[in-house]
Amino acid sequence: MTRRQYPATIFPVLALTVALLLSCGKPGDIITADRSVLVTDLPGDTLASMGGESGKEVRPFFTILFNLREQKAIWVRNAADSAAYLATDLWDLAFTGPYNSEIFLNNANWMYNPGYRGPARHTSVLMVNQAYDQVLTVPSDEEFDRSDIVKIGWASNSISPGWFFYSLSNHICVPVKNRTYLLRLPDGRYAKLEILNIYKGNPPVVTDLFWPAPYLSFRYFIREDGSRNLNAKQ
Amino acid sequence: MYLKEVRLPALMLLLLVLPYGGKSQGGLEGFTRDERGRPVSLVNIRLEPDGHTAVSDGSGRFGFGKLYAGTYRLEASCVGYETVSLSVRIGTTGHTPLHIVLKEAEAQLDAVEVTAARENPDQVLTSLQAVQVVHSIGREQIEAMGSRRLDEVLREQTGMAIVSDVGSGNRSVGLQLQGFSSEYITILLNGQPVGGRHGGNLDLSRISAHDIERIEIIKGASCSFYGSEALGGTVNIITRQNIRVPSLSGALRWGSYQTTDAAASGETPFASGNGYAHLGISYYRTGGFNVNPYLKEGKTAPPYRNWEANGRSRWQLTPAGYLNVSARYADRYSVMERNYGAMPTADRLAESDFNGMVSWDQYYSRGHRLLARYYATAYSSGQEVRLLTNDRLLQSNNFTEQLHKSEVQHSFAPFRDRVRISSGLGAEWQVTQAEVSGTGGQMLNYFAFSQSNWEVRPGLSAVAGLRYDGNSRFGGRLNPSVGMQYQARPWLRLHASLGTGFKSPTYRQMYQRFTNLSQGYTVLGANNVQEALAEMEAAGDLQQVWAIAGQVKALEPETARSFNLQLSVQPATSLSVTLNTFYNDIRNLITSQPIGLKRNGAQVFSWFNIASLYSRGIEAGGSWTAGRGFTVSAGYQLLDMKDRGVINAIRTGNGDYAWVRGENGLRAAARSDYFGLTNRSRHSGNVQVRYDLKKWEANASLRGQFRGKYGFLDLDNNGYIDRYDIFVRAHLLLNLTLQKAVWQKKLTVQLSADNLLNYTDYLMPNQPGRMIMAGVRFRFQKNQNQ
Repeated sequence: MTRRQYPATIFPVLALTVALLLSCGKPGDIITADRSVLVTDLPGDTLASMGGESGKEVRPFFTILFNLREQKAIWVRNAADSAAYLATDLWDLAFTGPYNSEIFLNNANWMYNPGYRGPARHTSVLMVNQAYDQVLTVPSDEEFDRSDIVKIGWASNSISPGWFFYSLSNHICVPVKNRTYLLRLPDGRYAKLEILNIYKGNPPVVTDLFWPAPYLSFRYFIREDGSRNLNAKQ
Repeated sequence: MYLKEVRLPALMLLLLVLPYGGKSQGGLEGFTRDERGRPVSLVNIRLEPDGHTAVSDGSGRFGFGKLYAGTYRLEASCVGYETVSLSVRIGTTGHTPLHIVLKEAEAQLDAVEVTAARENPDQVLTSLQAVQVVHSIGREQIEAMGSRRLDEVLREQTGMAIVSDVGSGNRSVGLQLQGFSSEYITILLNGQPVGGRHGGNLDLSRISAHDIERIEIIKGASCSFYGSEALGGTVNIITRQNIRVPSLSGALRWGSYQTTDAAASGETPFASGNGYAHLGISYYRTGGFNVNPYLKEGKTAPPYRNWEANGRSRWQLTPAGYLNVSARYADRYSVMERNYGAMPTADRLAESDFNGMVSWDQYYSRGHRLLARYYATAYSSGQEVRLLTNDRLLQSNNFTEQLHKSEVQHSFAPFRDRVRISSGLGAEWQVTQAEVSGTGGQMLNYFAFSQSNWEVRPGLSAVAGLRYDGNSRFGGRLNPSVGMQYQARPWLRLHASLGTGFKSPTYRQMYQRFTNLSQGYTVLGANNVQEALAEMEAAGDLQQVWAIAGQVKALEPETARSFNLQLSVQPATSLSVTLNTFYNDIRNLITSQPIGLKRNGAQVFSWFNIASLYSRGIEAGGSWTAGRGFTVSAGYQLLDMKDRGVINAIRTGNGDYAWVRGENGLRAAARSDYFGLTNRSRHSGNVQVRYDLKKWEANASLRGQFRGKYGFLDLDNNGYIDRYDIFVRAHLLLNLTLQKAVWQKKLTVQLSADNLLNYTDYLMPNQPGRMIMAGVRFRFQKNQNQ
């Protein structure tokens, strides 16, 4: 695919609420209907490369900002885009770094966050080793305040809070199962988030080194009434 | 039989022993008949130790003259009959004709243990004299299976599997034997190594099943004859040899997935039977197939076309000297397109492969034999992956490999033939060139070996071997092996063997500095890792170096010790059962581990000699001639292959291996969580039912292959396969072949259906769905009267 197919600013994301959840991919999984938003195959920057792969552009991956409520993506390609979008509340999540696999929640306080010095001063991320559907309540604000998670990226070891493992035997990103992130959003609302995949089609297993990536799949649920109930089925 | 009458003199002395003079001599003549008393022609009669051979004529008569007085072992063999071995006494006075009764062989579809010696022009040792049990798959079996490529033949054998190695690329498939992966299995063509491995895997579909006379398989680390690197075993492909009659043969088959398989070959004896030559050519084309539901267009197993030509000749140029030449050339081209709905790619591969050998085989008196040979092989491949939308190159890999090998082998049989000592020495020069920097280079390998077979008493023999292998990069090692065979009762045979092997670290593992372009990670050779890290640090590429980097040491070779104990029982003539237990102890396995982090966020890896594995199990096989034309055979393997490091970590609760990620997050691992290594099934087996309808000259074979579930991907990143990981489900594949001979067996019509149940799984990208093939095989043999 060429870049022309992606409009410069906003990318419309297809799949909406009533979601069929492919999380485990075991054939015969029960399809659950809830009020989560399932985003599948949000195209990342497929033309960048990490090490100077010939034919691809040797440059860092463009950052892709995402607004959870509007389900909109914003591409940050240059200094003008950075100035226009980064330090704003137009976005919640930023997909950055190699294969757009390092995810930030908009935050004004940490200097490497794309939203540094922006309006999102009270945001925070917590990680729980629990299946998305089993995460039903929001922890206390003290816990959010204590969190030291600044980035959701590669889980290099068993205690790392990242969302994926990198398989040494076959060089494939493998999402961490039964891991859910709790978010305190810029507007103070709570949400839960599961990152499902980086490969096109959200396959349960990747069997090809050239399986198209990054195409991000994730699901989330925002508690709009400000309560601490995260049961998306109600 | 194809020939009605043969009036040529039956005496065909192929092997002469020099000198003749001065000794008392006698002769031998006899008849070969089947169980109904009808003469059998074209039976090969061989006298050991001298190696005299004769062929029976149209009336079943054969004869030898000018034999030294003494006791000989006689062996009578003929296609379609069981081989007969007996002891004969040759005197100087007159003798009575010998009557040999041949039993029709019941066709068998699985590999059989080799129990009868066959003359081997490639080696001074026959497979019967190997330390290990040698399993053999003959031409008739390969034809009856309808197999077209070598991988199709081997995947139906007990304890053998063809597995995909996704981490090494879409085209990477290899053989697994007693749990060992492809890089530990030596593949030989007429006793010489086949080159061209990718990520350690050798794709056996490169080799056509036509013109294979038989395939000999040795399981486990072993072989003083084939090299110490074969930690997991050896597969030796033997092409047509010992040709007695001129013939033309071939096959033509078409079927599913635009598959065409065509082959033709001609062979003839020449120089009054003092030489023979074989020439074959084959073409194979397949359209590939897709078993991946996520793949919208394209194939998971590559489409390709393949040309192959091979030739072989042996010629008796002096009374006791033979010239052997053989050559093979194969060429493959393949384009694999893939589209998952975005970023469609094309993966192109062009491969060529040449093997050539010249040898001189000299026989002397008292069983001395000297074989000198030179072998060369050249393999080259060019591969590139491009994005189809803009033709951008994503990956390219050009690789060439050349090997030149010279070797001298000698054998002799002192102590009145009760001992045979076979020795050899040689060297090989290996040159590889690869696009990936540091993987190319030159290497000199050298070796010497000696093996002694001792017939302790009738029915009991022992063998001991010693082999030294070394190379210019690493140095060398000595590897011993011992074995014994005991025919305890006429119906009970025991075979025990202990073999050792070692695999020196590769240049890549010792010295190469490699950065993967698409993923950005870097792998550093272990022997100079500190210098490499210092240079990366100086260049500002490093973010972090972990403590484990201090533990990287100069690499030691990987070693294996293999023990096999086989029991063969034949309680009735119609029933035979074998039971083999094996234990392979593999140490110092070289594996990569991350040692730090680069500025770009990717990891730095190096190599460690840490892993220690064992593979143990039981192989059981049986064959039953059920009568009325039915033959049933079955095989089963129980495999337990584990990493001792994982077992220890689970027991002590320390390290990355000590936990699993279950439904409720992380918890301590228990021993029962540890399933094993990827790609290994605990249970696998096969059942074959063959039905021969003699009056129609037709047969049917239905074969089932079972593979128990096996680990595919370590989902929770704890370094091994546990119950929460991704498994390939247990499955059964059924293959059916029907064939009928027509026109006095000159033509055989064949219909085959591989994977009759159309079972596919996208975790088995190379296992096609149902494949139906129809075609004919022909064989025209010249009547010797003409």
